[in-house]
Amino acid sequence: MATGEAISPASTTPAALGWGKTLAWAVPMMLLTALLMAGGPNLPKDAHRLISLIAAWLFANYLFLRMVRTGKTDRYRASYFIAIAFGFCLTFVPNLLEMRGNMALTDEDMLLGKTPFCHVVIPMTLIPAALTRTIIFPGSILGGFAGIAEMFALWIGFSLILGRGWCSWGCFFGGLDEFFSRLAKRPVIRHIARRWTYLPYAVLALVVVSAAWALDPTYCMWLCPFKTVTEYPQVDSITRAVQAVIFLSLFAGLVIILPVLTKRRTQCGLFCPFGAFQSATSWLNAVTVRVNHGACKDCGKCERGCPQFALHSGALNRGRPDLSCSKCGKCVDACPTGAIHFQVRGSGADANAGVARMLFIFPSFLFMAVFGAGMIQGGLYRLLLLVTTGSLLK
Amino acid sequence: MSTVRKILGYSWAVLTIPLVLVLFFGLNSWAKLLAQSTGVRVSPWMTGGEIVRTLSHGDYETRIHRPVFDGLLGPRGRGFVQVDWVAVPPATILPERIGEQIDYDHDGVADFAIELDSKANHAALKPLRPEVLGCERVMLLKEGRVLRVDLKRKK
Repeated sequence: MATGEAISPASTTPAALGWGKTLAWAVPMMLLTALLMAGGPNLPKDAHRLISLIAAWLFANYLFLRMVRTGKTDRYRASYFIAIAFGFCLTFVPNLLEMRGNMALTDEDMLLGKTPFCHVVIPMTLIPAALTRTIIFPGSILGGFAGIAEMFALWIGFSLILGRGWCSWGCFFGGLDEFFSRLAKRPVIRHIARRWTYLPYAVLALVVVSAAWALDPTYCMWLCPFKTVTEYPQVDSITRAVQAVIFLSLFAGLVIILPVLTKRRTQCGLFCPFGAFQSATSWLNAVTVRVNHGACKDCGKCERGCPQFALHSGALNRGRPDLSCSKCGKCVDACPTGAIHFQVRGSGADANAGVARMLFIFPSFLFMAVFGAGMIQGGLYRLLLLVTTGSLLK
Repeated sequence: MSTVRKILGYSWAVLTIPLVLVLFFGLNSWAKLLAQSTGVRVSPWMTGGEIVRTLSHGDYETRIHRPVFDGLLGPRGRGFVQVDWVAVPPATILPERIGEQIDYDHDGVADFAIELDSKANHAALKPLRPEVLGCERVMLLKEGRVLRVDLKRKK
């Protein structure tokens, strides 16, 4: 792509669509999400669950319809993405409390392979899996809740469809720091030195090497902030108490405080090793974000708004964001000239950016809507229980 | 060439839509296929390794796992052997005190002796050969106790 050639904004700005075209995209989404979210012809008999399912479906399709109609991607994506994260916590924690009575992971759970597998572990498991054909995680390969093979199959699929876009369209943790990054009106900390953006790659290298050496998922044992809102090893020794303090501190610092102060997704952009790992899969994707430098007026809106630290003057000159771009669409929405746009690989700068955008957001939103549906439904179900029975637990 | 790349790009972009459907509709099948084709299993450092011997004592049984020295590129110098004591129905709890000599390498000679206090969740280990180094804390199962005994690999 010739990034320097001047083209008119009209040819690259994803325009809002009229009602006819909007419905042409939205109706298939309604049908496909109904099919996949219901999971078969038998709807839930429990009224709470049925209401949650219908509400989640309506929520998803309202957001997609608005996304197509307005031509804006980020705010509607973020609404669902954040709902997934809160829905996940509201589903996961009460489930644990019902099953175990607390959030602590016991020795028995680990010995019997009852630990749910999470995508963040994947990079740590690859070297041991390749060399020893074993997975260094106390879960189950098939079956159970979040089996290892299921998560690997999902990972292969979402890497092909989204690449690093997972971090803004799929990850059930990412919505938490996205939520906190949107709370303040203005950032208190405006400048973050670029060298910090290499930290996730260092964390990735550290956890991959240490996990292969120790044959233990070291990130999960020592560094995962999201243990705070999921499950953590039972605190029955000084080592585990230290681990718990680290989890809490990282959660408070990276997921709450720094996102509020910087208005950026600091956990995802400055720490998460899975995000760094996932950057390597973005080349597989059909649609990317590109910058037409000729149309850029250097207003800086994209650079200031990018939650993942992927845009800066070097990236704008180069015509594409850094590897950390998670295709959230915020820069595309913010650009007043349409210089930043979605682009199908192999097509030129003069290609229709509106078509590229739709070819990106349709599968991405469909993936997000279906993948997150269970969590949003679960969260709504728990809230309904709270309203009708006074407790989140059954 | 650029037209070919463009056609490939758009084709791939369109194909991602059915790919989402194929992914979710066939997730269980993909997972089974992946597990079967790779033959991966959970690391013995997590599971304790396969059970190779079960000793019955009436109300409870002793399960001895294979010694685990599995390393990334070959066996490690240090590992462990896991021993489980599990109540056998109709019993639901273990005897308060269990004393046992364990022969983990099946050479007919006991390798270590254990005194397990199942109420206090404490174990006292007496190594009977130099390869036995010590033991970790007693881990709790609903109907049993688990102990990992640290070992040095025989030269």
